[in-house]
Amino acid sequence: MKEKPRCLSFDKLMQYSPDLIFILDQEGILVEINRACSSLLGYDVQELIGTSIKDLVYAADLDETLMLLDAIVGGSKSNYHENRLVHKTGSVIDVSWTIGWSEEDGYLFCVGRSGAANLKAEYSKVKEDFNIGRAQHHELTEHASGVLDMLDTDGGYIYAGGAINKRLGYSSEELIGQNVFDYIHRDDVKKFKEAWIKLNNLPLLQVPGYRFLAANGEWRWLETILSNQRYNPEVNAIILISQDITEQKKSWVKTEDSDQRFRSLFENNPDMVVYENKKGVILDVNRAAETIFGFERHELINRTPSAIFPAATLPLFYERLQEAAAGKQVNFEAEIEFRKTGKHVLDIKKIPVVVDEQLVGIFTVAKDITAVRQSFNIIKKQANKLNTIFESLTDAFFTLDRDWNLTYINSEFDRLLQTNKKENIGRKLWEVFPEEKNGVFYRHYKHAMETGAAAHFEAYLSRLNAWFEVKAFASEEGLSVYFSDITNRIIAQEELKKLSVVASKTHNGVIIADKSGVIEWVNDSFTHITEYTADEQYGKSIIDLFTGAGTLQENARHAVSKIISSSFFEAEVPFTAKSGRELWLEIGVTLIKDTEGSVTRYIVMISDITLQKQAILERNQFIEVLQSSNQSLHEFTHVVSHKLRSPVANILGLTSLFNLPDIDNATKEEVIDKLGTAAHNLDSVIRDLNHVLSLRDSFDLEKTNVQFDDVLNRVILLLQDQLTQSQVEIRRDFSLAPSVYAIEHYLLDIMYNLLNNAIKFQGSEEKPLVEVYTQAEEDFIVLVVKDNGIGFDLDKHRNDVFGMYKRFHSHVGGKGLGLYLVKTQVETMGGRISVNSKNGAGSKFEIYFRKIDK
Amino acid sequence: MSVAIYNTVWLIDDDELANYVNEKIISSQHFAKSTVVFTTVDEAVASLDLAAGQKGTGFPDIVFLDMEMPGLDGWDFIEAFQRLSPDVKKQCKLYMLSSSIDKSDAERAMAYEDICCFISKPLTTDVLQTIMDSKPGSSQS
Repeated sequence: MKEKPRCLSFDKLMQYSPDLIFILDQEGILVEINRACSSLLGYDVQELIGTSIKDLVYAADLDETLMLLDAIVGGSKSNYHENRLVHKTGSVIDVSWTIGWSEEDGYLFCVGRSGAANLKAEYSKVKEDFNIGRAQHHELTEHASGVLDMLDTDGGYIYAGGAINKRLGYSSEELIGQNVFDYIHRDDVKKFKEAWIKLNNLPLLQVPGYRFLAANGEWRWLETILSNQRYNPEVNAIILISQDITEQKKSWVKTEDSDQRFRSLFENNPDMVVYENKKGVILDVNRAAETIFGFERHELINRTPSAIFPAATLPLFYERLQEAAAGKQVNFEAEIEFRKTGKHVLDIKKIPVVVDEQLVGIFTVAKDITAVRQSFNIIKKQANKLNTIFESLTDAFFTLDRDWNLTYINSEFDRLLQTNKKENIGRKLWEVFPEEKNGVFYRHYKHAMETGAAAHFEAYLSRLNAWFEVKAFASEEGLSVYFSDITNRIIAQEELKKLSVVASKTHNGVIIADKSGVIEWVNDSFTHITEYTADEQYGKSIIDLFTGAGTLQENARHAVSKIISSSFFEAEVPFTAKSGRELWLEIGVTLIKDTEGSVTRYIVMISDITLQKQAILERNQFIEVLQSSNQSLHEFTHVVSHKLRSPVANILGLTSLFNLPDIDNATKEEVIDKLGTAAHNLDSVIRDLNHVLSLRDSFDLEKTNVQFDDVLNRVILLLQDQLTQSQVEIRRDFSLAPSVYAIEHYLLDIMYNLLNNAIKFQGSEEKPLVEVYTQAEEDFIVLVVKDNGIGFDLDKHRNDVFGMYKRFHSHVGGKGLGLYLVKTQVETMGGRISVNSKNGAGSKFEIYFRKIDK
Repeated sequence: MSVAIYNTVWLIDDDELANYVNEKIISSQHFAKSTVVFTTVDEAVASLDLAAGQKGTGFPDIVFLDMEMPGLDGWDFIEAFQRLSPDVKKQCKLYMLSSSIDKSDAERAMAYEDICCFISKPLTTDVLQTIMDSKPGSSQS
């Protein structure tokens, strides 16, 4: 230890200075102390020498004091300090210090002035005065700069002395008898009372600061020393020495306030704030930092960054720290993966704190921009996505702001309009297309922007000699516009118009349908043929038109697939005109494709082929008739060759008998007789043939409307004998079809033969009955002749029933020609005949006459 | 007077003129001891079955059969004949006698195994002579 500095004046100073003078070494040990310590702190000089300042400083202030002393030793120029010391009695005294460091001595020189020092001195004096006597006391206190009040044990004023009361605006008389507690601020009463109670055990106590009501209603801050003189028989009161410290308090509050404010800013800052020294050791952190680091404050204080930050980021941090330590404000972003709280993106500021050109620490303020960064990334992605969408639009697309500036242009825009978006974005639309200013596009866009209504229009852009279909949607930002080149469509429409002019003049019906088969146009001939008007068909499906008019769904489907595969389809289809008239149409469907091969239209040509179709049907019917008659003729020749040959063979046989050696005359005569019979038979056959041939040759015989009743009456007349003989009953009913369009003579023959057969082949068991009646069917009138006779085996004779010279019954006479004739006659008239029969169960003949016959 | 070559000949035909001619020729040629005429196939089939049951008595040696007849016809008779046992059948020769001169009719008839020959009417002495000549042991007469 160095030699204590000694000189006479120093000793005097130490003896008489009312301020505390401490000389401390670097460790805070008191090396020298003046006598004021006994009056201010209650210690003797010798008691304190060698002790540490730490023992004297009020615990709450100790750290700050030590830090400051360190700082001063470290070279800090800040040498003013306020703290509190503890009186030997335990009371706390505010002391304002001026501290100096002597490098050469290695000592700290501290001069402290007690805030209450003057009062204390005064008090001592007062105390003496008490001892002298009350009478003198009054005079003394009147002139004292301080205040002296005396209270009874309940706080009631016994004596209210001097200046302070005057300053507060009270006269002595006003206060006496009043209770001190009534004047103390509600919030400070507790503090005062605590001191009051403590006073029971202590002779002297300071109430550091409380608010006292002034006469003008203002609250003044007082600091009061309480002295318990109740046991002093001369006084028997509590003595108060008060000082108005309002002004100090105000300035203190201000300091406190700014400190509080700083503290609050620090603590409550939503950004994380770390205070560190130049080596990066953490001195303090705020709550936000705790949250982000995932540690509590006490776990962080005095730690280095390596405890918190991942190793990978440490170099960056130390580098930035050094920059900050060099006095530079540093700003940087870092993405840090914290062990406890995961990844954060931080916007970090390092601010060096320099006091008196000395770096005392570094504030690090970090803003958590994770969410911001994330949303930024999302926005960026969305923007990209939107861009992709706009680019991938097959339509051209651009956006305008409200000042007509182009804010977005996609590639299709450039392709269609042969522009370069890089040059045009940001420019006004009318700068890019000056010729369109006030044109049709402008008008539509303007309207859309002004009304907010979507615009949809087709317009011609003269610059490119092209047509565009445009859709524009207004928003707050401006206008989004989609457009596509429809020049081809417009050309196609024009062509359609031209085509329509041509097509309207043709006799064929023409239907033009769009690519989905919706009818766009029909010509007059279409209406003429189908009776459907254009207006009835516009917008309707072409498929529906045909299927609704008789074409099968299946055929329609087939047609569609055929068209698609071969671009052309032709068919003849039945078609019901609007009036219900049945038509046959020939339709030819042609597919129109655009240059890219997509279907744009169907053209359907229809022509009315009903007459041709009818002619064909008739021809086919005629061929059928011819074929059938050819077949009959074939059969006829075959049968005839037999039937003619039979009598001829007989004649040959009979004549050969004449050559027999033993023939007698009687035999000869017999043979001659039989030759006659044979010749007669031959004649009969030839006559039959002639008859049949004459029937077959009678196409030109005229048909008339013949009444069944009349014909039957005549037949009955012809068969009168047989009918009488056979007792056959005939029932008739022609009510359903009383007449038929036929050759009368044939009908008579037919009915004669059928009735004759019915009589011939009557059964033996039942009473013979023949029913003759007619039925009307859709296309035919049917004549039915039904008997209850012997019938025949239909299965066996199916092919021969109506054959020439066919007979099924050997016991009943006949040439086997009747039904053959019937059939021939029926067929000659264009009808047909059928039979149903069973052995022993009668026969039923049905003859079908065509109804519609010209 | 020579002895008839065959015992019994059946004529089955609905044509009375033809039957008259045939009977005359057969008897003048001494072709058969007896000639039986059937004008319907019904009768002929009934007699055939009866004769076949009597083991030879009345069973024809020769049958001349017409084809075109009302009701059952020549084809029905052939059917009935085919049903007989081979022993019985071999006693009898079946000739088809038809007014047809159509080749297709002859072919159709010859398709039947049991038909010896298709003869177009009229039946002549030459035809009968040929039949007699073809009979085994006919030279003895």
